[in-house]
Amino acid sequence: MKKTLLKAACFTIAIVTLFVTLTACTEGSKTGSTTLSTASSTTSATVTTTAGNEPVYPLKTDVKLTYWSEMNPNVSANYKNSGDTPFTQELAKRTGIQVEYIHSTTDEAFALLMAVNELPDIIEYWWDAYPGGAAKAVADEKIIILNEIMEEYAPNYTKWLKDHPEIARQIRWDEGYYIGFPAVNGDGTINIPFMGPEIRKDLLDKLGLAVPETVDEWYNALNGFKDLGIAAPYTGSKGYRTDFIARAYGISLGDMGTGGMYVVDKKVVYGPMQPAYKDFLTTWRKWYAEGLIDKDIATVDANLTKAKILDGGAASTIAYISNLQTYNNTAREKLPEYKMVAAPMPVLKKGDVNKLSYLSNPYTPSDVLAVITKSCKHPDIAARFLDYLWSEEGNLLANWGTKDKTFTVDADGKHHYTDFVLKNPDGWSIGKVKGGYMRNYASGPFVQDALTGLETFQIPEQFEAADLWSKNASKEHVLPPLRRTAEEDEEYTKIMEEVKVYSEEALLKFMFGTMSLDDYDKYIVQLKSLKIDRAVEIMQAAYERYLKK
Amino acid sequence: MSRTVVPGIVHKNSLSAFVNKAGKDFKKNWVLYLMILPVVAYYIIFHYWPMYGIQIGFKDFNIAKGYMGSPWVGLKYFQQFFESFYFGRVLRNTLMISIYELIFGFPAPILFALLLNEVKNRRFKKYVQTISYMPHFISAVVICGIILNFCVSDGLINDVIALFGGERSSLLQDMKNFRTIFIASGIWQNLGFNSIIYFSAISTVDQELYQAAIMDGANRFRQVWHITLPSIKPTIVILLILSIGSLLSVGFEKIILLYNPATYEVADVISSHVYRMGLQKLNWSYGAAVGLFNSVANLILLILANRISRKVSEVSLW
Repeated sequence: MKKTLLKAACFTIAIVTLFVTLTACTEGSKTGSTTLSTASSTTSATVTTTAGNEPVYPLKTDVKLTYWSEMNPNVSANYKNSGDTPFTQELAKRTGIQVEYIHSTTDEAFALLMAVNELPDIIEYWWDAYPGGAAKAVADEKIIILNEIMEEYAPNYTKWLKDHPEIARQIRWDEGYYIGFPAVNGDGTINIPFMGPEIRKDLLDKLGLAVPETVDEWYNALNGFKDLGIAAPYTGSKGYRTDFIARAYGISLGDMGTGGMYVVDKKVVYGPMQPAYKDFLTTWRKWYAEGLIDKDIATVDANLTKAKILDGGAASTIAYISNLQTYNNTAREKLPEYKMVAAPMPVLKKGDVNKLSYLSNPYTPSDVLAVITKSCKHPDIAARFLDYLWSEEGNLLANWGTKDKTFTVDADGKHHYTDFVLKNPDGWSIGKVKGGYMRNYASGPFVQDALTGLETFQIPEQFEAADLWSKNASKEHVLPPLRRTAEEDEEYTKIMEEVKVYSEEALLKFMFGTMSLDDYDKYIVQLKSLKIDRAVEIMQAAYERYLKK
Repeated sequence: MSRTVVPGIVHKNSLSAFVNKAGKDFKKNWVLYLMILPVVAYYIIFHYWPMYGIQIGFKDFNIAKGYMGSPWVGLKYFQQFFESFYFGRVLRNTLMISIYELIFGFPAPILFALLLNEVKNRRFKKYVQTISYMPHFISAVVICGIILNFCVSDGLINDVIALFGGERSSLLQDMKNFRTIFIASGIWQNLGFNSIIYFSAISTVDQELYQAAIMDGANRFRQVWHITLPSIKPTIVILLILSIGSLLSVGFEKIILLYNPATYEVADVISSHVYRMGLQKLNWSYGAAVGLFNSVANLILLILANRISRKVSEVSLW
């Protein structure tokens, strides 16, 4: 009896384990396949197409669109699906188009999605991830181009492109395509550098020094900090280390994702190869040897840097305007006279202007893009839906939210966020309020209003920073968004990967003194042997194509 | 000696004999077969079946075109890897780190097991063992965050160095320290967990052997040397062979978290190199090609190690 019971138990366990394993398999494949059963229904739709006399929105239609995108943490903190937010509900009400939002769950979700035949109507994603880019996706018949339908069904977007021909040129693909609705950050009229040097004004006052403007003044200031007993007068977490002093020498390094490539007199150059680079390295190495730069600069991460800045272990760094708020507000709890302010971009001689500002282009090809897929049965309705955010009311909704709830208009017609946004009663951060009521919590298929950034300033140091850094800010050397061909791209990526590793290593070795500056020529020879010239050539070709477009 | 003929059963050829035997065994032990079925199914579905995906290492993989649609490019990505400027360096670093790990990290759990085994207080033994397992379960990210914190110029380790009169330095920016930090932290993390198998091997040793040895006048050290160690030799050798079979696989998470351009020279390994290359444009073909190279190289090492072990000791994996 006992033996058969035991046998039966073993049998049951075996069967159960088998089923569990098999269901685990099918479970996995189910989450992998997208839930596309709710494709757009094909009930007849009546759409008012004349944008002239009759109001286009709200559309009188029963069509329901499917919209695939990644869920942003600012939204997911409080809502399970984008469709639950007040923003999307308002959007649906105004456009008259019902949309079902589908969110990706894993990193490979986009790749898996592309392998499916029946795609959602609209996909908003970073189309650089598709091998060959969005143009290739068009060639592979996955998504459509807008050229034929945009005049009629996306009039707002079309008008915007006409009003901004320079950016339109960047957005347009070389083949003449307009693919999807891009993310545009500001329209180029307001140019406030997003980051810059920041320094402790209260400590400078103690030393009797003014906010440094030249490289020599920085040297004095940092020495002064050292004498005050500060262990790391200048610090910077792994990404933002050395660029600002290099820019005083007219060199932009590989930091900040520019890859070290920028433009001088219509020619593309690679920063870490320029003659002035050696001068910069001499200065930088001297500063490191004298203890003016954080000894651990290569290993500290963002958290450690922040801690040092807050507790006085460091007195200067490169950071964003928003950081000024965090630094000052948090540190003042323990040290009321703490004052972190923005310093101007340094120059070599007093009176010079540093033209290498930390500015980016309004449009970046690698940013997010909302496209209409070939599987969409109503591309006209999809276009109308996406076009709404390019209209005046749509843009207002996306950037500022709902009138009187999230923004007010003052006597001069300027917009201001309400306390609901800035000091939310439920304690939500500004980002999370945006997640619920606006679309500018992250880049999206609309134009971000640069003025919204100014609205989030709370302390005078931030307004001063914006003023200081926009003075003389120049985009003269910033490379416009370029597109390389597929073969060029492959070659370029391969070369730059190795060049990047080598130049980063060399920078640190020169800085620490492991490599002597007498070997600088060997460094240049090595760079050339890694085919950096070919990479510059490729960028130059792409740049010239752009100028001719 | 001729084959024993059993009346009633005709042995036509060895295949039918095998099937016969298998059938009989199945009838008798079908519960065991059923129990192992999920495990076998797991290996077939998740390990053998996906192997057909290796072909993307020879193709220009495009997700939209899928496995079948992507064009063949032959050895292009292998070539790209071998011709890479840093190929020699990453290969060397991978091997060096693995070999150092073998030399220092392999004996550590054995030593630990042997030493702890000698402790007579059972409760103490249990506590120490349990505590020693814990670091294994902490994620690499947390461990590396701790290491980073300890190794900065004003961190804990530098405090100790200064206490003994040494000079403070940024430990993780110095090439000379990287391997030590990497391997030492690895030993600390995995010592307890890896010693479990040795503990179980030690527990199977026949106590009578020890009694006999004591009667012959052996002290504790002699007992360990002549009884315990030889008894767990098979376990040690098997694990050694397996370790050699993963010589080229240094995991990239910890490397990426601990390295920086100042230590690329010794820290950049094959996996971190591929991680960076593959991150651009999701270059899966490149990753697959390098992965295949890794696996083949590891397999060759494994077979070699096994063969040598078979000749030298009688212990081997197969």
